[in-house]
Amino acid sequence: MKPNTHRLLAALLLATTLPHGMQASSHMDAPLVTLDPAANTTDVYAFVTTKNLTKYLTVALAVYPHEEPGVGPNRYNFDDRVMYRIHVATGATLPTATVPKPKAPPTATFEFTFRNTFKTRSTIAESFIGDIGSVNDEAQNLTQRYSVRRIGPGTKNTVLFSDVLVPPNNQGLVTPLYNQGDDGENTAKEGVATAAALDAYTKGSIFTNDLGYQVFAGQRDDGFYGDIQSIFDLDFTFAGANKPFDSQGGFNVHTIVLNIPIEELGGDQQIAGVWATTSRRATTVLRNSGSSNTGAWVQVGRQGNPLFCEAFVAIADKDLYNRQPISADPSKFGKYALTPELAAILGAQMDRRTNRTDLAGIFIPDVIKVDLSTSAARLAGGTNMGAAPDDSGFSRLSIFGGDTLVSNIQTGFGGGVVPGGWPNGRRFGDDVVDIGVIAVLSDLRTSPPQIVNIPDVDRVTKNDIGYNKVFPYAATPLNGRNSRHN
Amino acid sequence: MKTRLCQTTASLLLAALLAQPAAASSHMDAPLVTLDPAANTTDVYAFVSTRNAAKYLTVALAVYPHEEPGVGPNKYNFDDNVLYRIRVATGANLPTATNPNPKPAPTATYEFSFKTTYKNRGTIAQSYLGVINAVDDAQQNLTQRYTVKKIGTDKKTTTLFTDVVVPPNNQGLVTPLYNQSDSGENPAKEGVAMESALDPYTAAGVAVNAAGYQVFAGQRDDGFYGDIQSIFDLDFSFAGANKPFDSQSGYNVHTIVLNIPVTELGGDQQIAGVWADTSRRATSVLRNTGTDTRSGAWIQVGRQGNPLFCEAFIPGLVKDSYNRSPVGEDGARFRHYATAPELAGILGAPLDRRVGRTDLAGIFIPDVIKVDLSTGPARLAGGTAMGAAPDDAGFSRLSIFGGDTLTSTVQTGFGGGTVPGGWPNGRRFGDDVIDIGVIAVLSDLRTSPPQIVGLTDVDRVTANDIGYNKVFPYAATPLNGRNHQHD
Repeated sequence: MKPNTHRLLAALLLATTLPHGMQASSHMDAPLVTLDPAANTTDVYAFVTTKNLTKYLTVALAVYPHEEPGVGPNRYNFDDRVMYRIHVATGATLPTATVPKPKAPPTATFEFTFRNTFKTRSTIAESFIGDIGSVNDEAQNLTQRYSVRRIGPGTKNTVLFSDVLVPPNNQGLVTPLYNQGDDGENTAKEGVATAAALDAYTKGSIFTNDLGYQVFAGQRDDGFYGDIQSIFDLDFTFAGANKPFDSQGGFNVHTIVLNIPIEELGGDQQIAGVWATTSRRATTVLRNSGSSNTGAWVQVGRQGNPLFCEAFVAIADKDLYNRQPISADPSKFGKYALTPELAAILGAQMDRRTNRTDLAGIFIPDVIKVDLSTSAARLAGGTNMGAAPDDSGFSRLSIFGGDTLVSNIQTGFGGGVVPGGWPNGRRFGDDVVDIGVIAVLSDLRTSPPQIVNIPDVDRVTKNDIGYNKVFPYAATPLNGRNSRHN
Repeated sequence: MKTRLCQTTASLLLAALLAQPAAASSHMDAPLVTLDPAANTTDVYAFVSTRNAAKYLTVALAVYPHEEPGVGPNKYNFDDNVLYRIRVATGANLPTATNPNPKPAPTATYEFSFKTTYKNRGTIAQSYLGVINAVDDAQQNLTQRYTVKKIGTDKKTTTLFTDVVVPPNNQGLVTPLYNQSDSGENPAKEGVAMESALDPYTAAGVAVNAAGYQVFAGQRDDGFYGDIQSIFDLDFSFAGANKPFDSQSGYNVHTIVLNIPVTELGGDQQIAGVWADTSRRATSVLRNTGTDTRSGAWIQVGRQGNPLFCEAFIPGLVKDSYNRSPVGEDGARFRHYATAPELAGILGAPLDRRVGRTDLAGIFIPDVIKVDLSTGPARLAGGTAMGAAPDDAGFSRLSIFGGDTLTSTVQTGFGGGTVPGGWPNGRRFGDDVIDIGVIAVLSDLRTSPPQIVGLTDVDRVTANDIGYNKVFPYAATPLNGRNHQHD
């Protein structure tokens, strides 16, 4: 398929009367969890990195879609009643289509729990009492702290971090150090290439333990980009007076990032499966004064690969998807990958609308599979003035843009060639809307695979701010003071 | 006090190490309810209006702060599990500082409960299947409907409306009729001055019953305006390279509007108190299957009367309690936040205006919007953008502080029956509640005549981002996701 076929495709789409639309990433997927933003996962990331010659699996979970920077401080925080979990399964614990429920639990489940403290509660000023010079100084009224536990292997339970700090949200004048020239009137600082160059708040919130883990949790720019508005608007030309447009531009999310030393997972000669879940206590009792939350943790949100719940699972099952374990994926949700509605919506060839075992291989069970045997993933930077450039060879299209890695443990597309980004892991900067649409329209069941040539599906090709090329990778939170919307 | 003093005040503020700011309106007031956007009230409106020579008390409740138009359709809806209530108390039922908990109950409690249906649940397209030409046509996949009940003082329940349809959210190409020239590429239509000029979706969303009530529920532009960012940023100069800036511009909310015939309230020779609350069932149990159960009594999780009170007066410690407690407890639990407001210190008010503020308590305690029903209809705000209906002659966003007054036949007011044309006598769309509130705090309304500071523009934001309708449902057209920008 040639690039200009894209136009034709779009025209066909507009002519059809099929039900349209899809959501990308996972910013507003299922009815129930959209009403629970603090537990609403937007994106999960997982990729191989190195630091001081040590190899890590870097995992990240973003929650709280569409944080408007200008009104953020009181409103957008982690919820101290939500359990945030990132699961990593390797070897015999890695769920597969044939063994969706391995006997042993995942190699490692990392649990993040938060608590809120205020320096003074007798004021109407909930978040900021003055200009913040350093994280949790006297001027930061609301401070969140969190602990990180690892469960696994087996029932082993290890506290990795206790009461580490979340930095403030980026408001503007009161949080100058997030912003260019350390001036709250200016836009947020672009991503950097060295840890020393990170802004003081971010730097002040990275914690390392004896085992070599690194962790960060706090407000970040939403690293996802794409024209979601057009998709909802059933416009697959992504054209017109108001386009192209990154409908996620200008918003923040809350993000947890964890660097896991590979030896903590049993070495790098294996594939890891990564997914994340959010849970609340089963029973909530509201009272006129306060409320209680008791009982078991019940999963209310989850995410592995981008797009699956949004663009594949039908409304009837979206809430169920969020509640069910990944072991249920083959039996309950496999059909949505094998016979994707999206293939028809996008006008895929008839033989590419059914029996998509290739897509099921990516999405069922819905874990991001990362080959740990490759070298470090190429990292995205940015193109704005002052941004660190992309790593040489990085492509937002991952393997569809020629960005590949070489595995020691699988043949991949021959000779160990595996995608440089999603669906081999997922990096900040992977253009998952484009990659996903290309995958659906292509046929990866054949050898060699038949790949459609669409270099730009939604005409949005980069994030609104450059990513960091060092931990915590996610970009600086956008500044509320110069945020515009109209 | 002269206007310039605002600048001086700002300097003083920055020098002070006082604990600061305030959120305005109620878009992100208390910790618990901010995590529950569908139950989070942003603003309550109440004003006298007329239609076909009949007199109405128009009340409105807005919820779901900061709906980003471009991603709206699936995410922003009323919640089927929330009970939305607007309460109107008159006569002996009106809570007052001396009789905060009158028996019997309010004259009228209006209950709004929603249910959501899909035409097709086997698709990934939750909201739109195609271009919507009429509300709830075959292209509108997700449709909400609602029922309105009136509970009277005698606890008698009357169903006013059954299964009224909520129009679609404004996405763009699929909802062209909301937008200028009926094109989804264009900005949303400006407010109109005649019912016949309303866009078809809005017009179809207005229902009328035999008793003369009118109702509308659906997505609307957020009618509140102001520079909240600066307030959070402890910047009371509202100046600098990025200012002035309306930090609420560009966002929608979900709004319920109800026209109540004044005769339904026992006539117009009285004052009505209006407030709203949102409730959830006491006990919820989550299940892995998604078939959660909700049972028990309705527990109030959010409430609002006047703008500003919970945000700018109640400290963090008791903000959640405020949302959970009835207005009957305001006098006992929250009165001192009105009589000795932290905000007066923050704003640098003269020392004698920082304590004993019985005037402010008269507005905020109990926290109901008091509307004098005996006046002529309130002057309405329109807009100034091209195509907008102009403000009514004499309308001022500053209400009485801008000379916009009404004449009461049931109270003396500021002499001769003069009462404010807008908040704090009722509240209209277009009232600049930040400016009015700051002026009230810095002034002294305890004296006769009152001593009013001469501020006319506190936060440098003086208009809404889109013109209001001057006919029911008054709230402005929801903003269009397709030509919306944010960076």
